[in-house]
Amino acid sequence: MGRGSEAWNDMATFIVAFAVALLMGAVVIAATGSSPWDAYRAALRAAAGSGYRFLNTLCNTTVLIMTGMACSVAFNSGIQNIGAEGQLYLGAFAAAMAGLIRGIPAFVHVPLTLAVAACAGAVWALMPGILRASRGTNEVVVTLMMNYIAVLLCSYFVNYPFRNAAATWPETAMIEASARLPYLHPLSRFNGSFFVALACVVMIVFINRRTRTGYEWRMVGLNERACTVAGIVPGKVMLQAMIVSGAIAGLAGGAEVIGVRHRFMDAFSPGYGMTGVLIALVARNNPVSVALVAFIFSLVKTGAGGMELVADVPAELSEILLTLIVFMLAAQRSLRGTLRAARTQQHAGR
Amino acid sequence: MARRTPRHFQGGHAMEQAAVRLNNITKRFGKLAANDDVTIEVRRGEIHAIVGENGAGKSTLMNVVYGLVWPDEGSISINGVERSIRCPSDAINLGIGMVHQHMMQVGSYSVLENIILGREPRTKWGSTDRKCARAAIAQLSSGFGLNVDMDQRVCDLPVGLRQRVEIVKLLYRGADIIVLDEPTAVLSPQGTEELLAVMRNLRSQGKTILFISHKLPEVLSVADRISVMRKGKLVATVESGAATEEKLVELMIGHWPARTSGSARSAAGQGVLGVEGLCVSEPGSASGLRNVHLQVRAGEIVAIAGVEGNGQRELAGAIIGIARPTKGRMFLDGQEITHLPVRARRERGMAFVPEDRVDLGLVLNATVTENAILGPAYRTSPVSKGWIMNWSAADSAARRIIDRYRVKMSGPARTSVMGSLSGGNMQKLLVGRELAGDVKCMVICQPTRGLDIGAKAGIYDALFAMRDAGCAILAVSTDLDEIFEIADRVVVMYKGEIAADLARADSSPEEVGLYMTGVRSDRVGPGF
Amino acid sequence: MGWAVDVADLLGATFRLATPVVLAAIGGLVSFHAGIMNVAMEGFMLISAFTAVLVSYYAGAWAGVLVAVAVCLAFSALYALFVVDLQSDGFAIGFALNILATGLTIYLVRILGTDIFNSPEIQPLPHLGIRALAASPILNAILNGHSVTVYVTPVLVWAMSAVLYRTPFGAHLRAAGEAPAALAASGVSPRRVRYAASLICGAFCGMAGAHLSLGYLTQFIRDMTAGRGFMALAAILVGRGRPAATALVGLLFAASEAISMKIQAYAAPQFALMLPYVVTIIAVTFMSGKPKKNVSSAPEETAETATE
Repeated sequence: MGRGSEAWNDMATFIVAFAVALLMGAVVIAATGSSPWDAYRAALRAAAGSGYRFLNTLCNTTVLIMTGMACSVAFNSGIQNIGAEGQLYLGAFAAAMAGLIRGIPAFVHVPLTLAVAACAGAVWALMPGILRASRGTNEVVVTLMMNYIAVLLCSYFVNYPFRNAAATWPETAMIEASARLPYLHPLSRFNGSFFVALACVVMIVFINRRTRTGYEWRMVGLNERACTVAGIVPGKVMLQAMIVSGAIAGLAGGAEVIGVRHRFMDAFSPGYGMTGVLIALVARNNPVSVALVAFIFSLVKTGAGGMELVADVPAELSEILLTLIVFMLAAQRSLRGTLRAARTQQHAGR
Repeated sequence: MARRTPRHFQGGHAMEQAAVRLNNITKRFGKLAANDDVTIEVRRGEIHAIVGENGAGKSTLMNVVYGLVWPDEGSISINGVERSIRCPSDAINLGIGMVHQHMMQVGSYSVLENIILGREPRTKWGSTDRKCARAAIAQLSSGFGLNVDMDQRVCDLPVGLRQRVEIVKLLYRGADIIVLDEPTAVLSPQGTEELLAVMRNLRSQGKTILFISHKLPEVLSVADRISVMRKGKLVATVESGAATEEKLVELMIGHWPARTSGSARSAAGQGVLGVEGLCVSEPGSASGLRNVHLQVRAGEIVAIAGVEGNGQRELAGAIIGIARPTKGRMFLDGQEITHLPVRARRERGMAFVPEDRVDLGLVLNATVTENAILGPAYRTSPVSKGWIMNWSAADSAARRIIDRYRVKMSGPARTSVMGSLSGGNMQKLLVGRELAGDVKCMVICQPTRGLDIGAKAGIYDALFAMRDAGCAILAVSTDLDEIFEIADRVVVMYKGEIAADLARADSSPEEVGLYMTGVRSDRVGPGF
Repeated sequence: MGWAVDVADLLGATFRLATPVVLAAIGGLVSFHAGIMNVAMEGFMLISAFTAVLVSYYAGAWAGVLVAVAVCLAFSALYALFVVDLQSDGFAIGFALNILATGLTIYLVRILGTDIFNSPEIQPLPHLGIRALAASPILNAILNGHSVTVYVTPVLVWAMSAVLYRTPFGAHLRAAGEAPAALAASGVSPRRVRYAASLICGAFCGMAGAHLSLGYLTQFIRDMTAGRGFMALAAILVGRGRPAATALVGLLFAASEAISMKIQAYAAPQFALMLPYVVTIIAVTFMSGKPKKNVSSAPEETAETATE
């Protein structure tokens, strides 16, 4: 696919978009009375100013890589799963429950908990997937509604039956030590789940490039009807992608629980699932790009947290910046794409 | 009625201004010059035909006249005044109307709504004044002898009537210059005669007609002058009275056409494809299949003739498995396939080239290699073993198709995007892919639509080779010339039923035409 | 007759709650018919709700509504620029706009101070009291005392139906979605029609958002829209883009919301809150029709180039 030059092109496009977004963000900061220079410097320091801070950024990257992967797997097959948030919540809760089981050695407990989390996410993705595959029901609406339902359901669980009475915030009891992934550095919450995320990336890259399933996912995502005529059943393929997507999102939630918080907390996600959608859109469903973009997004988000503390600029600026990147990229791509499409369409006779 | 710009007459000239004058029109798509310095003059009140092979640039030229395409060089004069035509609206305001080959109509709208689209008369409240429109159209229709039922939905109309609606539509806008792009491509011989009569009538009422065709007999019958294009250039403009078919063919392709290698043989072999009592109904559409019985034997080419929209699509769809029949059975090689999914049918040796190549046959944004294995190929060794794909084996498979059918691409198969190929090459790849592998039965729709004569011959040769190797071929085509060139048997469909099943050698295009328009019907039934 | 009054209360609440979703859906179906499936209605409504409160605090309710609609128009023009002219993926742009709306509104709330957005000085939209209705307690509960926007909504639904099916613009609109090439060949620019459709959608979403934050409770809270933009989308899909049907489906969703508010006292609140979302899923699963042929996130390119 002309990977070499296209990859450089994409990276250059991204850098330009990022730079323009930073500029526009600076305008916004200045307009609301703060110094952009101070704000950005604080952000950079918070995200990467020292070893442990950088590890924190990487820690935040973990969830984003996985929600980004979840969304990209689904989008790649043509099914617009925006339910990563809900699948994440259920995975996290399931992991918190599985983590309470006593008397299991760590080398069993950790994989078990992650597997349970992945299954929970997959199950939550099953219904929208089946509805889309069998009846063509619009999955955007269904998955979005299920996000709200999932958050409410988990909120119910954690406020009533499974609430840890000893804690002030609605949360479950702490999971067993055997289920936890320990922090790898005394000053940071960075833990082994980062490598789980990387393993996800490797797995999806392998599936996409070297397996039948990856081929089917890609073809169905590009032209469903041609696949039907060729003998592929798009519904089945999309359902497969949806299940894997849900599983990865569930895994993300599980990783948060066993790696970072060691319990399930009500409303713990500041929109990881939705950010995952943005990441997949920016990275154009390419797994390696997803990882890189997730890292950049994490830099921005972690930095924004620090920026808020030091320079008094609300952290929501990160949301604004990230969406501006999406717009800039869309504009650039469409300009490039129009040139390419014009060339292609003219040769494509009908 | 449409606004019209005033005509400018240079006073005192005995010679009338040309209705349309194209001066040195050049249009390039990438490196290819679709139109290369073309100058044509169309006189007022004449029927002017533009002929040429597929790829000669005729459609592009007409799209320039209608404002759908902007020329890179050159100018257009309408009635003696140079005009800039940048969009169809400009063309309409200049009195130009166009009937496209793939009709541009809103299927779910009625005839009335389609005719007034973009030129709706308004009441004082701002709503559409249907009464006024109805009256105006009725007057127009009767004036030109083009009667239409204004309340029928356009998608329910047969192709001939849809075309008539298009003509009424452009007359409603006050068109004086009428452009027709391959109007007879989808009509039966009788339908063609009716259209030619309409054209003569329009001419007698003072209209100027520009039409594209590649069917020379009708061109010679109705046109006053004929312009021949070849490879983007204008070769000659001749008076139709002085021209003959042979001369035109020579101008069109520059040499005598090579005869294709096949000739009809009597069918050998057992029945391979059997269809019994097949009924398909599509909700919301008038066409469908009713009680169709058909058999295709090994080593024969059966052509399905018929005007578009008489059930051919449903038949092809049902055989390959993308349309579900409500009744009836289908057999391949003795085994029932009625309820089998598409993949199972393909694995048993069925191949399918759909009419919509780009939407149903190919994935434009995927690479050539990925397209080349789209089908049973990607699941068989060596392209994939178990779950793992072997991309170099896939490349080899692609290479074989590319070499055999001489598909031209600008890069290696593994990285070239399918959409970067020209239309003809895409078709060649598609047909090549379908013919690869162990094919027992092939369903191919409109085998050579849009292809130039070299590519056409290539496809026919490939089909004959498959037939001679024992394959059963079912070809759906609306082109009678093509049918009479390749078929061993001709099956005619009319209104979803089989109207005739004839041996090609015993029949003629005229006879087939009678069946195509329902004038005659043998009601072919079970047990023939 | 106690239960009759309860039902009447419920119906009254339904009309009140339906207004944002129905207004947004009416605007959204214009866009739907033109071939653009607008997923940014959620973001438009949020921005408009924010703007309406902010402006109303300083300059009164009508100014609030006007500026909110204007801001929404600006955002929908941006959306149209990307989706129609730049041919970007409508889903991506819409989704990004939703997140931008969330982030931007919260950012500004925190900068400007939360007191403004909660203040008793925010002027609500005027409510209509119809004396004739006050006589009957049941009719009173159902139909009286609502904010003006509630009364305007059915009129707009009827007007949209007339525009869609009886005016030239409506014919062009539906053609832009179903057969843009035919429309272009008839001399009307599908691009212009789609722009108009996006702007109309923005205007309606502006009204919807203004009602949300100024109609009854005069405040702005984060994530105020709570999925209503997507419920509007669901209503369009189930109603197949027909204004009357779409409005009815919107009423159905609002009814579920009204019921959910009533039953919150009886069980854990989370389950009651789930009700509208569950109803939406059921409606979309069992009642939505097939999407129109050309409706996709990115509108089709009109036929520009030809084959030989």
